[in-house]
Amino acid sequence: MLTKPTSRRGFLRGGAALAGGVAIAGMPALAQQVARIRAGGYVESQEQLRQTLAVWEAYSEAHEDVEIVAELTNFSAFTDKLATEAAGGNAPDFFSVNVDLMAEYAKRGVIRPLDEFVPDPLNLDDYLDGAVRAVSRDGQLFAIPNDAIAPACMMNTAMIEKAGVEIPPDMWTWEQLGDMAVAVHEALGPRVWGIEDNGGNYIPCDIFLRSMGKSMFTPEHTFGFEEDDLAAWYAYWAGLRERGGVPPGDIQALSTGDPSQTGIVTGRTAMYLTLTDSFAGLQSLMTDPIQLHLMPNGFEGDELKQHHYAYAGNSTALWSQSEHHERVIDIIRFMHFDPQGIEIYYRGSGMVPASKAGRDALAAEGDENEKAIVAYLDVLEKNPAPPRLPGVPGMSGMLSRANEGVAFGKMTPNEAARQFMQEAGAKL
Amino acid sequence: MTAQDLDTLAAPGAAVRTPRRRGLLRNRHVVGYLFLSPWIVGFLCLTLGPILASLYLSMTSYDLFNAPQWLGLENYRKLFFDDERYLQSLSVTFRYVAMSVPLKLAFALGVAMLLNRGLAGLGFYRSIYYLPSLLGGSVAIAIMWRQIFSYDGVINRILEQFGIFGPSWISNPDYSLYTLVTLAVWQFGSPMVIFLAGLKQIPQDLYDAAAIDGAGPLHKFFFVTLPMLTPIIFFNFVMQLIGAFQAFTPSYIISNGTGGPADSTLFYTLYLYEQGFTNFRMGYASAIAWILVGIIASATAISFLSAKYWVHYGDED
Amino acid sequence: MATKTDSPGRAFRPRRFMLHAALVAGAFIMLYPLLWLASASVKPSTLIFSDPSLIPGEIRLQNYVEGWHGAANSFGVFFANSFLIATLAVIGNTLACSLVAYAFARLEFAFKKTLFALMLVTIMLPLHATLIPQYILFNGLGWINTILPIVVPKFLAVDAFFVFLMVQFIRGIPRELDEAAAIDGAGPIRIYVSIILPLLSPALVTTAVFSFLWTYEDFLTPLVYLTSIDNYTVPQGLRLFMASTGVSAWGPMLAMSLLSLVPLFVIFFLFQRRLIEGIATTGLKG
Repeated sequence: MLTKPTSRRGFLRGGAALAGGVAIAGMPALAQQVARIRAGGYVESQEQLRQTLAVWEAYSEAHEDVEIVAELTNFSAFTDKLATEAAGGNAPDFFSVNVDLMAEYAKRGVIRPLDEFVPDPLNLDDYLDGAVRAVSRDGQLFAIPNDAIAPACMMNTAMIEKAGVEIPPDMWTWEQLGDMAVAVHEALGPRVWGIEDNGGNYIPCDIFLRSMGKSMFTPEHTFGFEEDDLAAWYAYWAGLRERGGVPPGDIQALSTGDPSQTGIVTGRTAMYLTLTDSFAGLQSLMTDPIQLHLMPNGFEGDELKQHHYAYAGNSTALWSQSEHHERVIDIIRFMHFDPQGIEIYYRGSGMVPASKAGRDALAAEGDENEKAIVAYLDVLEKNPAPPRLPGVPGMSGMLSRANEGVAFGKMTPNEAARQFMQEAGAKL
Repeated sequence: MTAQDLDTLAAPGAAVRTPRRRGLLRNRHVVGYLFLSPWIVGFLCLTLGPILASLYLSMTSYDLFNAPQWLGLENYRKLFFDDERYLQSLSVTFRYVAMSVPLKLAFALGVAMLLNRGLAGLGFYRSIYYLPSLLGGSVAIAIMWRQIFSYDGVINRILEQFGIFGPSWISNPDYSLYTLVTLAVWQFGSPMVIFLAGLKQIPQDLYDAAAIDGAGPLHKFFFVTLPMLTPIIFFNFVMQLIGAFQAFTPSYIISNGTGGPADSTLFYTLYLYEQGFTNFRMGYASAIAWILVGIIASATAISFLSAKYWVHYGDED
Repeated sequence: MATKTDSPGRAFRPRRFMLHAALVAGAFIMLYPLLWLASASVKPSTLIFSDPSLIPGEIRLQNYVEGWHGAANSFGVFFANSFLIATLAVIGNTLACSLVAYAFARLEFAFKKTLFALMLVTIMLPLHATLIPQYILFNGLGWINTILPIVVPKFLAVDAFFVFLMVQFIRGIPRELDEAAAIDGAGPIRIYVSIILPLLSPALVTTAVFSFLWTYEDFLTPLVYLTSIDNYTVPQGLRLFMASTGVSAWGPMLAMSLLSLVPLFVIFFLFQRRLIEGIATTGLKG
């Protein structure tokens, strides 16, 4: 299509033509025959940004015929940028994706299957099974996980202690969570609630459905539940809203999705159901300590069964039209499997590697937050659940609109479930 | 000059075709197009293609990465008959436009009148009053709006003194849109600046003449300032209209761009964006865009038709 | 209105006092977000969102140091990039839009009304709808990761906002002035240069300042066209501090946000003086 390699020289040429030779920033000397590899994607911390740039720099230094052009930004900007570039036939040679982006882009042929490069040179043997499966679609591998994440319940332990409520055991039930949330509200009342209303939250909903022996999706890309199952989820939060366990609808709506506006950071709520990759970010905005805890599970027979799955967070994918496939695979190999590369890419980056070796290193040398996450993932690894399956775009929007319909008294839980199934079903 | 020479540019509906001055300018078409040439080049080379492409895409199913499939008018039919959220976004946007545009213009004009004096220190105020517009939709504005309009915000603390317990205005679907209208009014800086520039263009002699006739400040405002300012009021009105129909960033203040709570701030262009970039339905999104063009063009055309009756140009008499 | 008798008074005037009181109260409300920004930018991140008070417990300038040096690039690079495109936008818009506006406001030529209407239609289409076709066009021209997609349109009067603005101002200028010059033998170019441009200065200054501010603040266009970190503008640089689920560097982000407002505020302050001062001297002869 209209792909045409453009370069920093182009930027300067344009700038010079118009500004009469005013150049922006310095220009690295370009040798002849240098392959310019464009590296897109998003990062989730300053540390990750620094280490990612450093590992690419190290690779370029070791390979004089390669220049890696960093085009990183934050997640929301990246999704728009990538969609535009890929639609225009000019995507970066490789870029980061999360599980949902991976599914969408794989489905449309924008990213390329990587199976031919496994296990040599990309050996994923000691990678978390859930992480590898999460970046696969219909049996093909489409990305290499950069870090591993898992669902978790964040608990503000100081607040819970102040309320005189006990921290529950690892394995507990959704009823216990509800009672605990109500107890916190009753003790610290009227403007403090036990837990954020997570009715619009995709992963906790999936765990809830699995606790009932169902799931959000099946490997065949269909719903893994019936209307009544999802209605039970909405009814669960409606019940808590009534009992004071979660904030009323209009106060809950202050929490818009950015970590800085969540109830747990602003001191409105004591608990929050989210993912492990939010742990350090939430903690960095709070003075009270928070703790990672398993979300509730469900009974299978007489015993509580573990339903949490670890999966891939930020992952690296390859643009299907890139002219530098071999080169990019070598860069990925350097970042993930070369001891020198691993050392630069991961150490101090805040990322929890999906590989066992990487996590062991972090358990030995990481900071307190990292150690806590590694320990948490170890629990899941010892007792794994079936992997997470990719959903459809706009999941959280659809789930939370339906939940808000219930919260603002405009819908019954069944109507909400029906609305979600109608909207999401159209995208399956 | 004569009345026949009126340039009726601002009223395309008015068909005043007159004999032209001959000999004054040779090749007037050539001269006209010469001055127009930057825009002609820009329009033909940069603007027209993408516009036509989006018009074509609006009649297709296009997922960004695979070739568009022709659908005819199906997207348009679906929007009006089979998409409740689209109708919701229309309703939100119309209410927002109807409230924010007149209020913002009135505010901007009022403050511009107040600040259009040689008073000491007014320069400082003019700059300060532009600040909210400079900050746009930044996090500082979002935080401030929450501190004012949330359940434990300033408004409710004041109401509490009178024994009233208010809702969480900013995050309650019954009120959230009004907090965004308030925000739009508060960010009145751009039309204010344009009003100030317009006020500067009013000839001082008109005021002097009015003063000799014994006119007071009110009389001066209604019989000198307001008529002389009508081209600028008209401009600000049309541009604020277009801007308000395309409002996008304000919803990031309240809902981080989801249009919540409960779709109460689902702006038209936000829904377009969601369809195009989140759901990868760019054909559908393009149809949404073109209906907006129709709406805005109609509103603008009506404004231009009405302008004949109330806009007074200095080049007219 | 502004009359020459409005000089600073000697005696206490109740009306003047009331006016100032109202302005001060208004100014505080206008200033509040800036004060919040200033206060948050010296707080540790643990207190930015959990402690709403405006007065920081301790003042840490560390956020400014960390923000300026950044994890990727010095913020100075982003500032330089932003200044370059904003300055070029000012030049392009004032030049091109005033030429085109003069044509629409004063000259007669075929299809004038149709073209004017077409021009207005171009700004009625939301940006997101044309983003991808536009990107394909600029990619075809080989302009990606250059400033051309941002700057060239400005020199081609693509922003109808400013053209329309200047049309309205030019139409406020009495036609007798042009006609007198025409009788003296001046052609359209001389009328444009020696009559229209000087009298258009309020609109030119307005165009200049808005071109600067809006180009400097723009996010979406630079996002897709200035793709590599070295070429990022200030708003893109600020985004590098933000995470969606991970650890946002709020302190450095807010510090650099505040810093990025300083040049804008200075430019606006200088500009508004230019806009207001000398009302009596450059006022038009009716």
